[in-house]
Amino acid sequence: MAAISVQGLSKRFGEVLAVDQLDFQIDQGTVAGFLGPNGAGKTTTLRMLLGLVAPTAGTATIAGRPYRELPDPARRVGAVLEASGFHPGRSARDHLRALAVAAGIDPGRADQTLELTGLAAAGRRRVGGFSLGMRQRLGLAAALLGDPEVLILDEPANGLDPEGVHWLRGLVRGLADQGRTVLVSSHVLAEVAQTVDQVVIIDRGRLVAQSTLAALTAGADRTVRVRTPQPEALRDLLVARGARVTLDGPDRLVVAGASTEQVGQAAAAAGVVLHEMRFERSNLEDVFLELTGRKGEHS
Amino acid sequence: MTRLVHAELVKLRTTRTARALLVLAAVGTAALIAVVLLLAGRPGQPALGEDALRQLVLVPAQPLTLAALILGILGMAGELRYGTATPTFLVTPHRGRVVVAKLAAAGLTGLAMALASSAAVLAVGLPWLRAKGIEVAVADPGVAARIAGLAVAVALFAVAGTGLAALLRNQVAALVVGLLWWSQGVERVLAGLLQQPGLERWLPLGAASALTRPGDGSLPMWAGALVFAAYGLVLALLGARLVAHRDLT
Repeated sequence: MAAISVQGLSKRFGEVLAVDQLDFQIDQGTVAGFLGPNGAGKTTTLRMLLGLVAPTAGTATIAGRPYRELPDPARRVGAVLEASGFHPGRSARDHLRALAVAAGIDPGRADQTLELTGLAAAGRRRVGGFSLGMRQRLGLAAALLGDPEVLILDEPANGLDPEGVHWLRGLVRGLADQGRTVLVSSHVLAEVAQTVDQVVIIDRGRLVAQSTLAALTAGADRTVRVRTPQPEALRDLLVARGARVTLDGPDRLVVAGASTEQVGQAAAAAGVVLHEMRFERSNLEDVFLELTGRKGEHS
Repeated sequence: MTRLVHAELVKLRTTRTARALLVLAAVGTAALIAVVLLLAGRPGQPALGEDALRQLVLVPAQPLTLAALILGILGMAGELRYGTATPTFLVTPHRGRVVVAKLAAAGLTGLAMALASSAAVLAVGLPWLRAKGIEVAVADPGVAARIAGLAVAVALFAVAGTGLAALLRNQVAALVVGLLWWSQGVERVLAGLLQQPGLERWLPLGAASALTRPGDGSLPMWAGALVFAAYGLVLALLGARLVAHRDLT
């Protein structure tokens, strides 16, 4: 059974359709990246999954049940949402202890999760003086209180310094190695690319792609850029051989679906002069931007 | 449910506000009583008699009810203001139970504040009166009834504050509305507008005054307690419903 299942999920806030007929499944033991540009509907989807926002239509379930119907939810699901859920006057340790008491978890577990998240030394300090990175860590500590099988992390790398991002990666990988299911959202694919097995990409509230990371990388187009005084002639040659070619200026071609060797051979066979040829691998980030149709907005 | 109330008490205990209010209830009362006793019998001030203790236990009633109201408002509104409602509702998705636990925790804290205050009255008042040669009966049922009535009233003000904050969801708005109402202006104006001076004692604050100022043309203590509790409960239920059904974005 899927650990996380979203079916026909929609949410309308007044005029805005924040999430539109979203479907995806995350299998147990998978680390999945939940990706999309800012404002794509990621947070709204996660909040519906966690029973904090009521869907306009559709269902979102964890282990087959809506979050609100899970018995002992804190022991099954841990979540990190935005970094603001703390009373500034309360210490980190007291924050965790109050949550533990409500969840029926041994309050001593608070010290363990502080240790796990590198906050042991700051545990008795008031949260008001914490940096954004420390608040993220405290959020993670709260999520880990119940030792849950499913973790839902909304932009957990926000506010972390490079050392913190590295630490977070290790933590998520470690949790995954223990067989837990992790759904981690981000607006930057590179941030999660080293950690996730699977990606769910959404844009404007709709599903754009759900696939393994490997399949996504394979789909990344390799292109060859060519400069030649006979662009039309070379284009016709390459198109005849099944490549996709676009003219890019008076003497330039962008070729997809052909290797540099194939382009060179075709040119030599027809006596076409080449001035320059360059292989270009579009990176994951390009794939992501292309899929979400935002490529032009970022260049 | 017990563990939820416990969790709410932990939350109250671990911020400065509730601790400060509890200390203030005892220390402030002691200071207030000392002043009243010092001034007693001077020109323009009532002299101390056998029923002095009955009056003294209710001297801090007004500031206590205000403190309890603020405590209730801050406890509930703070949760929404600082976004702690998110982790709270993740642990307990049944939000109605969270609100009920908050009402109970606020009520218990109000009770503790009132009892701390009454203890301070006895601690300062008894030796003082004895030193002045005024005989007061400690076992006076009138004193016990006033202490109990005050405790109920203060607890209910904390409950009302919690309900008000749940209903308005905004800390500043809840504090402004709470203070306006507490200052009695609203109810007096309402009774005046309707030309029903007798109506005032049936309104929330009027009913509460049966406990904080018994006699004085108000309802009997028990009736006042019931009427005030009913208002508080309605407020709390409306607030709980609203909190339970709103999206937490």
